[in-house]
Amino acid sequence: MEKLLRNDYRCILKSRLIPGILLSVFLFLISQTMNQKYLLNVYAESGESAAFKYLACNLIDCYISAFFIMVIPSFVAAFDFEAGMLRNKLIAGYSRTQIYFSNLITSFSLCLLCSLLIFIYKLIVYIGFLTPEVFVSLIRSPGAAEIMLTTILFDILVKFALCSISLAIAMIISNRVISIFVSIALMVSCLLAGISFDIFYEPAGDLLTTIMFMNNIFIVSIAQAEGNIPIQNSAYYVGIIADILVFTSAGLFVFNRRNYK
Amino acid sequence: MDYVIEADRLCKNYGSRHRVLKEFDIHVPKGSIYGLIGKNGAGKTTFMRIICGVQPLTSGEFSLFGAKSSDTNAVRKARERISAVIESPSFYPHMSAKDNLIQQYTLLGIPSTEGIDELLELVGLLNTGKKKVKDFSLGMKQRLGIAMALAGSPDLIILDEPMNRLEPEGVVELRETILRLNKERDITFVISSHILNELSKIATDYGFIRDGKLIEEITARDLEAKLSSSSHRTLEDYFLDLMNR
Repeated sequence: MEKLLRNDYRCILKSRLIPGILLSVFLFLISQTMNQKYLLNVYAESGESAAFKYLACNLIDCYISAFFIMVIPSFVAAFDFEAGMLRNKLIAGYSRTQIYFSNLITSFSLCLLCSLLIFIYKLIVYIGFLTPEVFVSLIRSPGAAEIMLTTILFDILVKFALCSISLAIAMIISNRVISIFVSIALMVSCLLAGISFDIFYEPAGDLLTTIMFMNNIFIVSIAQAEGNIPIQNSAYYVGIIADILVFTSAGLFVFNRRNYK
Repeated sequence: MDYVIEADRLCKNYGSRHRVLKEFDIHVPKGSIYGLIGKNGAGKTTFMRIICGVQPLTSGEFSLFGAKSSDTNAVRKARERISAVIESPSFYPHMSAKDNLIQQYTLLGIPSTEGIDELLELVGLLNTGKKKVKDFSLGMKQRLGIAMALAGSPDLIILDEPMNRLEPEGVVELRETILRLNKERDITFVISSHILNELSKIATDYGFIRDGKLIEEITARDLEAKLSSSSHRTLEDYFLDLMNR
């Protein structure tokens, strides 16, 4: 497994994927900067605690990076399918399960890199917009550390779930262009469904959302960003872990049985 | 006799109707250069893909270096001793020939990359420098595929139509390389080819496939004796006669 991962990471480092991600994230964030300034001012005026809650949720961005997370696994899987390297890996004695998990770990690492970039960029922008004094006072506000840690844990789970969904799609379809299209279409439709659900069934913290596989991720992430959902609610964690298990198992099941070229 | 590959009633179906291999039996002796001959669609590539683990078999059993296919872990371990170029060679098009070989070494867990230049020289790609594989000619890609197959000093190399796309000089170089590796490193080869004249210059054993079944296995020596005592003059004549029977 370690050899497989080294092979996958080296392949990605030699490709244009990382420069592509860097450029896309940068362009996306630049376009978001003014919007961030406006929102920050609105939340900062609403009081320290609320402002920090927003800050924590938005710093550890969930739904902006969802777009990148839904696309990255298709590129990672494409190295195996399009270049025929899947065959090389199988001949070298690796099992399909090992290859699948190696792709999942590689994709997730890239997704985390993407999130880290967004985090660093936003941190710089926030400190710049709020001034360091205001920023420090927000960080020192009551319960700040707990909110931040819970948000990070929740966010990592959400990102891993999105990554496993997208990789399952990529491994099943085994065509980069089609799997990117399907992943984005799925993300947009779920996002729309999530927004509709959030609008028509307030508050979004309803338990019903946890039984909706995809939607709950987006509902929670939107609601979380709006600061109106208690992410300490264990039902959401159960829902997201269920997403990870269901989609990883489905992807693995199909990948183990299909005949690939 | 020691066999590297033995197959017993191997079957491979695609769906319920399309049967590619039908009770396929084969015996590849250790240290041989085994020529697998058959028409297009006879099942040669499917057999190779099954041995390499690229495709699962439907029924039957094979053994690879004594490891039975029913013992998944043992056969996966045995696959570490083989390498193959099936259909088209596999490599990362955005990398150079050397980088691709480094990838292959990483995949095989070989810590030192010392032998890479030697391999590139062997297949005549040492001077390609940083040129990306996507800009290689078909012949160069084929030669790189063979270099990748040679990485890690395998005990068995499976080559599917290796002479296709090669220019005449490339065919001669490949033939000499195969013979040298077979003699010096005792590597067993399983080669499928339609260029029977070329195959007859290197093969020590033959297997003839028709409609998913191995209809005859014969050593090169026995075949030579047969040819001299019959009206057949070449391997091609013999093959055509077998297929038309």
